[in-house]
Amino acid sequence: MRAADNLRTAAWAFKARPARMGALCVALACTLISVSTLASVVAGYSRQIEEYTFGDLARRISIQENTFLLDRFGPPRIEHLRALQKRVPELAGASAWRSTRVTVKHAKTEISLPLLGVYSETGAGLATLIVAQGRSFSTEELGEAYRGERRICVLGAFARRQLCKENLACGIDSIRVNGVQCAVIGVLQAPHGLAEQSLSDAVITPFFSAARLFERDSEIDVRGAERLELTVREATKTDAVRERVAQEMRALYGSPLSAPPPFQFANDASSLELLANQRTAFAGLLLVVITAAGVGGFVSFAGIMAGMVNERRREIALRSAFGARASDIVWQVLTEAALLALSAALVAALVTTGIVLLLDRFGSAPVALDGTVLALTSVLAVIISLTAAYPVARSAIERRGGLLSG
Amino acid sequence: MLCVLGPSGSGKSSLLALLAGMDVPDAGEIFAGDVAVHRLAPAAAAVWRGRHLGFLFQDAGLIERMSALDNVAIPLLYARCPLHLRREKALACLRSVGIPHLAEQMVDVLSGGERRRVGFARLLTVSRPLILCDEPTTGLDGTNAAEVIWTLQRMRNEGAALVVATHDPKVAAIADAHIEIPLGAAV
Repeated sequence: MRAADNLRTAAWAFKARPARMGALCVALACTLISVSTLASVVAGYSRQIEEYTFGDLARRISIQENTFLLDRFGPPRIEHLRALQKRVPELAGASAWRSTRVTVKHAKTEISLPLLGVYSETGAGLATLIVAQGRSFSTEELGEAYRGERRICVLGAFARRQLCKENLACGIDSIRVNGVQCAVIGVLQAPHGLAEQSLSDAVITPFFSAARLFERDSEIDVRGAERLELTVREATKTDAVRERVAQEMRALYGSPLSAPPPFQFANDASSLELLANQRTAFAGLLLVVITAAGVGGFVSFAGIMAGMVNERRREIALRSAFGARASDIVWQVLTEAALLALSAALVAALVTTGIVLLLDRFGSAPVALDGTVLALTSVLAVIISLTAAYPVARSAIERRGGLLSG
Repeated sequence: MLCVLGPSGSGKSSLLALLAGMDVPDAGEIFAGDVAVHRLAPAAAAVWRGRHLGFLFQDAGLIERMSALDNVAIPLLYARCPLHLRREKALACLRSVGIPHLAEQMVDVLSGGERRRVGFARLLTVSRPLILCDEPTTGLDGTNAAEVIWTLQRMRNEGAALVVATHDPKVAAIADAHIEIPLGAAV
């Protein structure tokens, strides 16, 4: 039988038994809705945890001096950063950091805190510098043009709490860093992930201000950085970009491949490994949820399908009596099942989108609905319906007798 | 043309079902030409029926919730006939049994006589070498019954072998041979 005839016959089956087909569609759609809603919630939690834990850490490459070498080449420099930005187009952002320990004084409070100096030409890749109060550094203040004349600082959230002695109402306009006055232009928001964590108890200033004004006994010269941080456009390309950056850094240092590299990458690999493990764990959880719901849906769908085909035993026998081959009957039932699956998937996609939007707006659970979840549920629908329909169709054509009487 | 006679419940329809390969005998063998029908698997039996057999059911054997035209066109559908030809041919067959106006009617709303004529129209859609008819004239008035008998004769004259289970003496009268099943045993 031709595909068009199959579709026409399947459409007739829908028209002839709207209640039964509707029940099948609803049974399957309910399974799909529960699967896709659960998947959306699990994906939402996964994404939130990933964001909280790593932020854009998975896309970050951190370069430091290789201090284990006897012949030291010196720390990475601002010039290296600028060259990398020109030579590696896959980089979304780049920054240079230097840090030292300083004494910070506010009113009568005097504590020791890390001082971080940050350099960036475009400000891109500094997603961690999000202020809750005041303002962050301007692009000009972060770049080469600003030579550090102004004494401006941004406080980490925890640093501010320490300086205020937990007094939430306390306002800080200026502090003294190693005895040098510094105007506080902003306070960072509380950290949400590991990337922000390292900034929360620090005082942050523009790179050249740190080098020229506030540091007292740094071993690194003014244009040297403790580390360069590069942000890759796509997390999946981080490893490849790291290789490219390694080549470029060797070239910049003039270090041959036969020698140990004069720089090293910070422990990003372990973070990525952790991230990969976390994703695998969530994928496993998602698979368990989908399997459980899929099995439940399969059983109920198969039950209703078997009932329907049993009801249509006479019709199938008549078709068979008039020359329908086994394959004709099987294809007819499978086409009906596929149409049912697609209808149920459409209904489920609409309902799930509504539920997810409602949960996102009014619920407390994080949800994330994307095309992959909907596509996977549609595939699940087709698998469930075809797997349930096939044995039912086979058994229907194996039956004999009962058609004639008298 | 073989006529199968016998009272209700004697097994005439069961015999036709066995001949059509829609049922399997507990014992014995059924041959149609060289084909051992009793040995055919359901799928193979369906293929054999599609090529060699026409069947008129006692209750017309119509698929409910389907139009008369679509019911008549079913054998053509499985003979891989294109849609427009199916409809054309099915309508011609309905016309030949005098009910072209019922083509788009659902068979559920047709009277018993109309249903039997739809069933007969379906028998006419394709020509088959073996035709099994179960009570072809039951429920038809005199004129329509005469038309059915005339059509059966025409089929026989065109070379088809017919096995007809009937109570109707007019049908029995045109048969070439008779068997009688008094109480489940053919004589």
